[in-house]
Amino acid sequence: MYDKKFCRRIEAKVKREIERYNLIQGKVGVGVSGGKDSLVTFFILKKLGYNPIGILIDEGIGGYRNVTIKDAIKHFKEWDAPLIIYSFKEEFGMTLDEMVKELNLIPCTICGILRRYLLNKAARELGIKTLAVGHNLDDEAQSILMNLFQNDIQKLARLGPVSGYAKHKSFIRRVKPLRKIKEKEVLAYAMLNGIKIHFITCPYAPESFRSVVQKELNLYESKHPGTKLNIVKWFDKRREKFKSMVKDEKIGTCEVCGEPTAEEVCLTCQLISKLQRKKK
Amino acid sequence: MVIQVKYKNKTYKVRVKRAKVKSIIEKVGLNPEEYLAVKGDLILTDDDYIKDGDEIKLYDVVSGG
Repeated sequence: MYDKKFCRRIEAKVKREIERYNLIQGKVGVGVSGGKDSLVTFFILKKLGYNPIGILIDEGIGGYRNVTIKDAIKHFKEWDAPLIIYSFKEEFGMTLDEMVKELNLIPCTICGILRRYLLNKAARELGIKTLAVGHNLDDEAQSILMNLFQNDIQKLARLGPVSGYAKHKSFIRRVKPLRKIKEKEVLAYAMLNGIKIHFITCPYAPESFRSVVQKELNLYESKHPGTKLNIVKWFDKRREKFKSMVKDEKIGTCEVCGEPTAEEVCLTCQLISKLQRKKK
Repeated sequence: MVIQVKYKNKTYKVRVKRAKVKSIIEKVGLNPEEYLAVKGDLILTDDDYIKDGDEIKLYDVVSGG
């Protein structure tokens, strides 16, 4: 059964991953959703002595984010740890639920672009040098397969223990300390350490390509244990090669907001201007 | 032997010989990768054995979005 020894093994594994890739540099923040992965990331980094700050993005997803925010606030109070909340409504003037009604786009696409933007901006404003996210082994293996299936070398090259391949003065390096920990182990660790969460899924998640890949990969893993780790190991051996294939992509500065982007106007500003046109 | 498996509002009765958690989860038609089994205060791994009369509760591993 999962026990204290298991917890120590998980903590040692995370520590090894951090040291192996020199993941934590300077002041560290954790992108917190209130789900098990981000709470466990925060809990372990705190336990390892990194004094992290939690940053929570409230996208405004009714029946989901309002519940997980409560979970996050409750735990941060217990841990006597700092949690800073940023919201789509305050930053962009609309919740994700409102945007989805206006835009003919997959919710995960809108959310992915705006969340990434706001998390990076928030981290920079808070003086954070390393932003840790709760991606676990399952997430990473899924991401590798998704990009492989779509033949998207650009996105594939951005994966790894430190995500993103282009450097920009405004881009906060993003790291994944749980990248070698299975999702099931993250849940067991959370339960053993009193991290109580609601077992709910984002209402938009079933629409995503990720959920399809997740289902198939879980079927395969149950028949062939070790598959997820093998996918990540396979990728890691070729990561530098993928990066070298896309090294021409230059990251510039958005003409409108000054955030990092590969285009003249960043995807966030493109979305916001689309929303403003719709509103008129 | 008979095992009771609780998941959300449902209770399944599974009849098996000596069995591991993994095969019990499979017997109720679920993928063991996606569920964590708990017996009382104990969190079980897929390789733990279940005894006659045991009651286990399943939790969703996949959450978030």
